[in-house]
Amino acid sequence: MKILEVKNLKKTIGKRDIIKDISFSIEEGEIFGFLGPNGAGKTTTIRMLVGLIKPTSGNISICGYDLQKDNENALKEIGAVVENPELYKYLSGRENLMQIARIRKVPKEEVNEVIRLVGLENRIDDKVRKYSLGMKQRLGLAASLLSNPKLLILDEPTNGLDPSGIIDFREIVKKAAKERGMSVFISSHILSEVQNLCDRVAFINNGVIKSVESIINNSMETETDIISLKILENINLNILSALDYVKSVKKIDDKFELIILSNKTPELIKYLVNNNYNIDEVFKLRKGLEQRYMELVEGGIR
Amino acid sequence: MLLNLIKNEFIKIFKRSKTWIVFILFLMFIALTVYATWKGEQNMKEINSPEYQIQIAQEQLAYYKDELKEAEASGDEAWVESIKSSIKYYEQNLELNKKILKEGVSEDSWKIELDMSIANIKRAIKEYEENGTKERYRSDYLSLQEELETLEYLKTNNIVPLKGWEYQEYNFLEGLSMLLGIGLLVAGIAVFMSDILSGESTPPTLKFLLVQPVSRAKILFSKYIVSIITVLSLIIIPEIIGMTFVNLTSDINAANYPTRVGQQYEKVFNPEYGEMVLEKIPETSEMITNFDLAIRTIGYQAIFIIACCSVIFMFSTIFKSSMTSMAISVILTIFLSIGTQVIGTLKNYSHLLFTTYANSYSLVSSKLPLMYNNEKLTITNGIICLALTIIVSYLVSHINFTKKDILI
Repeated sequence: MKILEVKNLKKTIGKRDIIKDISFSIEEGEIFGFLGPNGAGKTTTIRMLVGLIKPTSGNISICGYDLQKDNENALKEIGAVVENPELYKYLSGRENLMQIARIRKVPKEEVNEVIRLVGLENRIDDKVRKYSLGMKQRLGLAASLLSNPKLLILDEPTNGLDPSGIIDFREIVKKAAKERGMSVFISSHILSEVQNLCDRVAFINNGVIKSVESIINNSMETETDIISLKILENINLNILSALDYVKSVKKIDDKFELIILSNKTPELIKYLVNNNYNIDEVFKLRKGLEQRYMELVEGGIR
Repeated sequence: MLLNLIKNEFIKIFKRSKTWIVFILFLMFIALTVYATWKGEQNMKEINSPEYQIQIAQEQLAYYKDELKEAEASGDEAWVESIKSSIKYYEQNLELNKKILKEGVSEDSWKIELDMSIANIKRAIKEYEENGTKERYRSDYLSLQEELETLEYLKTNNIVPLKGWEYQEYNFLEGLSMLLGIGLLVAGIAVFMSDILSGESTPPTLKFLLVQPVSRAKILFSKYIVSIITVLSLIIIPEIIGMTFVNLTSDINAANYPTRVGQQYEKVFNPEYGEMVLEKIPETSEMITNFDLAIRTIGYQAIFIIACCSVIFMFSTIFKSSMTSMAISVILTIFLSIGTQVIGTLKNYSHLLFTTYANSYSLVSSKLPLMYNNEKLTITNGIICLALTIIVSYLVSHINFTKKDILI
């Protein structure tokens, strides 16, 4: 079953086309990454997904409910943290959660369970103004998990968190998704975050989804590899570029940087060895998701 | 659902320190007005005391006796006569007050004075009628008739006439309404309410609320209702507490004291002043008790507060920054409040502006038209203006809030 289905979504603000006809869908239980540089259109898309802004055209369907026509039923299935979790600082963490619990008719026991899940039991009755950023993020996550939504939407959830905070947050999301069987839509510009968390990822840039691809074993199929190569002998650039699997080559200091078709590295090494070149050093400059991101978003090598 | 939203909003509004600060400031303002009413009575009592009157009479007599010498030296007979008449008046006054000081005032003396006043007014009315000048001086003639009706009511009901400056709850209410009417009420509501929605944009807690499965219309309505109930309670409850306090600490029971409401006016050319002035329209006013007047005053004040809240709420919905909405609310409403009182051209249109109706006591007691020289400031027009203000403001807020993209 498709938990989220986005079709031909467009958003124009003023004369600028912010989102240019994007479509994608999320399956039940799937963790879906939304990857792109700052200003790519991630937050605008998320704002449309949660009804904060209206699309210029296109459809958003959540668990079969059309967000435009059946807003309340659609939003019942969503828990979301859009950008930084801005909560009422003058209320306690618990009262912030109770504000939502009352709207969503969530019993107190369930609120306590979510508080335990995000590990805020000891500080939940403090005023939010006394919380660290990490605690606010956890509280925001707790707020979005109340009422057990089928789709959790997180926008740059680890922004501003320290490394241990990021690891904690990731574990909580994974645990919540696994225990509750919910789908997660997570936007980020941090590659490692997406790689470690997501099943599939959409690459977005300039308001266009460049590709939607699967992450398998924390890695990703790529079209090309970028190889750094150091050979002890002199070699003519033309010899390398003449190889049919080499797409480009350039010399940087005493090394070569080659873009070759993926999985052709053993063949390249074999060729060099057979032609009596002594290889001093060879390695892939970028792997998996990072390489794919460069291909799709940055247009290749940087 | 709506009840839960309303509960949420009540929790938020009463957890804001601003609510309590504004409430405490208003309580202090009420306490100050109570004190001012009491102090006013003390001052007037002192001025009216026989000791003070004796002192004034003696000072005046000394002054006029000096002036009499000058007048006699000048040979101006008219001047001399005028001064002699003044001297006679102060000598009589001096004797009267010395007598009061020595013998005191009998408890029933007010009845004799009341009878004398009634007789004087009847005589004056008769003079107007016999001279055939009651049409020419219609306003004065009408005032005399109304005063006669009031005095006869006092006599029939055995009520001691009041001078108008006594420390009692209805004078307190009048003073309070006047102070609030000069812009304080509007400014207070503007400060309190201008960030009720825009405050959720900085920081953007509104996002937290709008991603919940509830329509924006319901969110807006719950905020509107809660802010209005809160403002009404925070203003009217302290007012009633203030009135109760004055009632308990005052010797005067003025609840049944008669007062006039509903007087209508028309603009007529006054050849003496050479300009259009307001004149009473006969038989448009009615006599009610102070208690009724207070109930009506508080009722109209409640409608005014709702209108004022609606306008400020609209600004708070339109502007994203709480600082902008507060600045615009305060500046605009204060400009309208004070501007209509001091700018002549604006006075002619004052009946179209909700801010004019802030002094609800004056509106109910028909004094507002005289303050603005605008005969259109009637209770009916007031209710229409305030009702339209409420409807238009809420509609603008609703359309703006339900349609706009939340880009905070």
